[in-house]
Amino acid sequence: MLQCSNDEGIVEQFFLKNNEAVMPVLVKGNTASKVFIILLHGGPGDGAIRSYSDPGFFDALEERYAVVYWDQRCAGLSQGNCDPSGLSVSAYVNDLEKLVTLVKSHYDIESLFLLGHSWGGTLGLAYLIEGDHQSEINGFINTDGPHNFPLTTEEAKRMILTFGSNMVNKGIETEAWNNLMDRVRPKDTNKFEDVSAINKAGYATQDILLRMDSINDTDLKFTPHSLISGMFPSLMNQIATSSADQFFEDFIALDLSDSLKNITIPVDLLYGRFDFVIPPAAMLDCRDQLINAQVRTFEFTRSHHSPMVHETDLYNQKVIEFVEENR
Amino acid sequence: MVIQLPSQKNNKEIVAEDLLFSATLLQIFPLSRILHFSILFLLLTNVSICQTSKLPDLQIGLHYWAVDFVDPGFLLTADYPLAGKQRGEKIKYLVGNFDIGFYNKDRSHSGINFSPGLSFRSILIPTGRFIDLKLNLGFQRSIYAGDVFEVDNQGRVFKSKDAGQNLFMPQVSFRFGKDWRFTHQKKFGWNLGVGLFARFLVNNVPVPGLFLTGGINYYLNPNPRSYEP
Repeated sequence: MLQCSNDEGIVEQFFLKNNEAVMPVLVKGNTASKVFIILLHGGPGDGAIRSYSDPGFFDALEERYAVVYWDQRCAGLSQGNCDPSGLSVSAYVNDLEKLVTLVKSHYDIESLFLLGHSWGGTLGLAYLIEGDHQSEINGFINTDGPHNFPLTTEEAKRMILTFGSNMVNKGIETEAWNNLMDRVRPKDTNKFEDVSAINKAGYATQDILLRMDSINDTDLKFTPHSLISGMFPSLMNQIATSSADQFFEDFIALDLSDSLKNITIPVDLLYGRFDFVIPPAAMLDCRDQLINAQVRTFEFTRSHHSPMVHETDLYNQKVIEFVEENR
Repeated sequence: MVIQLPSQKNNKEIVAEDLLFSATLLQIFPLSRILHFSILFLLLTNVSICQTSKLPDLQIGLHYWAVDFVDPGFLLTADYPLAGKQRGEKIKYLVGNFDIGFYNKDRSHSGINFSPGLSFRSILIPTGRFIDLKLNLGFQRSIYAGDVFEVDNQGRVFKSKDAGQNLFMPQVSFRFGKDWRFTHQKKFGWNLGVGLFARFLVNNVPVPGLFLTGGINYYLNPNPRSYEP
């Protein structure tokens, strides 16, 4: 295990090997707190180390707690012989189960939290509803992570059309909103290609909202070394993951609603008011399905799909509040 | 045009110079076992060749290897002209080469490379300047940047024996530089290069990369091999 200590706290790196994937695990921050937060990155196919750790989104969390950055199979800086055609939600859940065991075996941990973003939020929910996994976890922070993808797609299309119409009526960014509405209006929310198009349109709203000054700017703060050194491995992993057609076909039909009642640990639902990718309505439906969990929701009023990017300080403050309440 | 050959040195002088040069390299990189053994290998080759009456036109190079421009590494190269033809002021060579390389990609892996290859080189006699297109078929042993652990289905954690991957790593590069034997009668030269490689296969996909090289060359034979015009 590589270990070094600097002004920013402990940094350790090791790898988890599971089913041919060799996945890097970077532990940063205050391990002495005995409070650990495992980050479940988005994507599928993005990476925790480059996309979340390097830009320093969770520096404030690392001062208080240890943050575990894990690059999932076929994602980020992960290596080995992971076969993208074998990707499935259950494969990711199995990896997470082993990661939790590994991290608990390495450290003296009193409280363990999961923090999921986007697809990572879905993965966290899928993990918690299976077996007795909840006994390992003190709380779950789900940031813009969908539990019901068909509903999410419907809501994304509806939000673009409704919000876009309002803006057109007010004469704000008329051409841009009309273009987007024209793109999504004919799309069938049950067809894979159309779902992908709606998803892309949801991301495209970010530029318009920036021009409207509705959301804060996105400054990823990559170091040149991080940006360049990991560029090809990360890019190729993303391409590999995106080639997993069967996985994505299953993913767009994924609906965990019926199982959410089994979750009893505290859940924090964080979302951006202007998230057109996973709209607030989808997150509020998630809250309504979590009938046996203590759920807190918080809306970031100047955020799109990534409040940890748009409103970093407030985001960390909300996570710290939740962790302190449930550690 | 006839190549102006530098003054001849006897084999004892050359062996003495070679030993001194190799020993200096060993002092510069005392911790690198790979380089250590590579230099020993080349040193022995060097000495054995020098003991023969005819010195081959073998070129040994030590280069900084900037993988993906920012990841540090080094390359130890051996180049040997297989064939050549002089045309006017130029000599065109077909060069056989063998490279041993090492680099470190932070938080990902270190790579140890063994790459045989061929290059096509053109050198301008009056200036000693050359350009070179090089193709290598490489083997890479990558070593993960940290311990690897596995967890069995009973939840038992153990350290994995899997410390890295064996990969196929072809490379193509373009180099330019100068052979000082042609102008300064020195057995040294320099070259800079840029290249492209691919690592087969990581997660079932080829992973491409770019690199820069820069370093010095040392020639066993003080006299460039001449070819009939």
